Amino acid sequence: MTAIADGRPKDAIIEFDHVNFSYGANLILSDVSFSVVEQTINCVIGPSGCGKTTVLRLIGGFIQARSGKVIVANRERTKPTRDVAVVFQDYSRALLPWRDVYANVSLALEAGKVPRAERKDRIEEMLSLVGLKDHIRKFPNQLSGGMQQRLQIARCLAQSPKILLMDEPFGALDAMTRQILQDELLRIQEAQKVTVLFVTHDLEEALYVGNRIVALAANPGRLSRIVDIPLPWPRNQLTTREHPDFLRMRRDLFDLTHGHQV
Amino acid sequence: MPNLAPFVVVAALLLGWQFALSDPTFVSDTLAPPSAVLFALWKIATNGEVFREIAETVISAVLGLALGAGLGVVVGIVSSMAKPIGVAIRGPVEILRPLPAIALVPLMTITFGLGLKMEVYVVAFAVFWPAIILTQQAVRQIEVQLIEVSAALELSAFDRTWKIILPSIVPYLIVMLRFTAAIALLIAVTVELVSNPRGLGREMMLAGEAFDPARMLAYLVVITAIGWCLNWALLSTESLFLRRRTRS
Repeated sequence: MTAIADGRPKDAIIEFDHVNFSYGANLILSDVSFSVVEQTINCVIGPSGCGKTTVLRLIGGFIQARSGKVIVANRERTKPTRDVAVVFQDYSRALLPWRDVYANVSLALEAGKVPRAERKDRIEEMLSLVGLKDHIRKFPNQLSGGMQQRLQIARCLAQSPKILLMDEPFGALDAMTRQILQDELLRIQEAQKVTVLFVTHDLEEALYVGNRIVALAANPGRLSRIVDIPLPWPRNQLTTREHPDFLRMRRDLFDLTHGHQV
Repeated sequence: MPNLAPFVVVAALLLGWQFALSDPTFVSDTLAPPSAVLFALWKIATNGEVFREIAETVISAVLGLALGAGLGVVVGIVSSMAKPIGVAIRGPVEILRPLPAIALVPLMTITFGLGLKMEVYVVAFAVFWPAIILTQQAVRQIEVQLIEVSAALELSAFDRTWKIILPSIVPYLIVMLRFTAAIALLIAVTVELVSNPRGLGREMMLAGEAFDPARMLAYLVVITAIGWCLNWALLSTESLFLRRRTRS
């Protein structure tokens, strides 16, 4: 795993430059600036209403900043593109229920105009990466929640993204499945060399999977702190969570997600 | 144990009807007992004329449905995807929608003459408007996430329509078809009753004019049966599609 030093702008793949965003008179994000280093996992945390999802949607290109710049891979973001993939929390609404597992992944390749002959290998590669190789002909409603989320991740990876945006991707899953998928995410991120922006309200999850935490404060949404996570790699569900740094950061950052003080 | 109550009620009504009209001295220009209706049914079925008339009515209803609902779906999708088009057609749709299709019969007769063509166009006109509105509503039901997935994948307008929007609205389109098929049959029979010299409606009209209530009621039974069959066929298609799509 790459060790990340601060302030290396040449490696920045995402840059927020004094970004403001509002819905009408309602200010959602106020003067947010930060950058994200390539091939790292960055967790956006903060109390509800702090604009976590808005940050993600700005990077996705679904909405545009009112002022300031959102720069992705050296270009100002104006619309969604294939090199940024989005994993939604509500997997059941993001999959195509009329397509089986194989065809759901295929959609990403069809969109990329990948020739039919090359699709099969790529689809199978993605499905084995997320552990769905034995369920190729099942339909989404025949899969468990965890498997549906794996399928969504496989489809996102099949579009060969530089950036993977994940909006509370494991929030709807049980604790056990969540931990398994956290480890899978780390393995997949390392294998695919993708940059991950991970929105979560779960501080421990953020500490466990992240290289860095971007903490936001609410009313209006603004940057609170950026903290690098010094925990050793590879992460381990038992030892990492008992690591003194983990416990210390959990204590230090606790108030950030609960919004008592900023 | 299936609930027998509805069958008992229907049987009781039929028996009551038969009994009330079974006085041999009873003569009516408007009513006939079920036995006479059954006999008339058997007669038109065995000499084969009913099948030609069924074909005439069903063909014009189905062609009109295909034309009107087909165009309605296209206009509904295009107007939902391209906002300016949606705004532009709102006026015409609201003005023309309440126009009773049957009122077009004289105009259509002058333009196309009597026969299949004019009947098809009147049916198409009647189903076109509800098809547009129900399609627009169906598109509005599509999960926002799916639209965003197609945006993130940079799908072309064609792929977006063909791979995301159309499959998403299929269950709604089947409900729409069930609704508009009833309208199509109603309009086809009405056009035949009013003027068009073909199909079941025309035969029913002639039987009435000939004071032959048994024959008239036999055609009524046939029309009702076609309505049932149409509804049943579309309902089965609907449940076929819904079975796969229910979310766990």
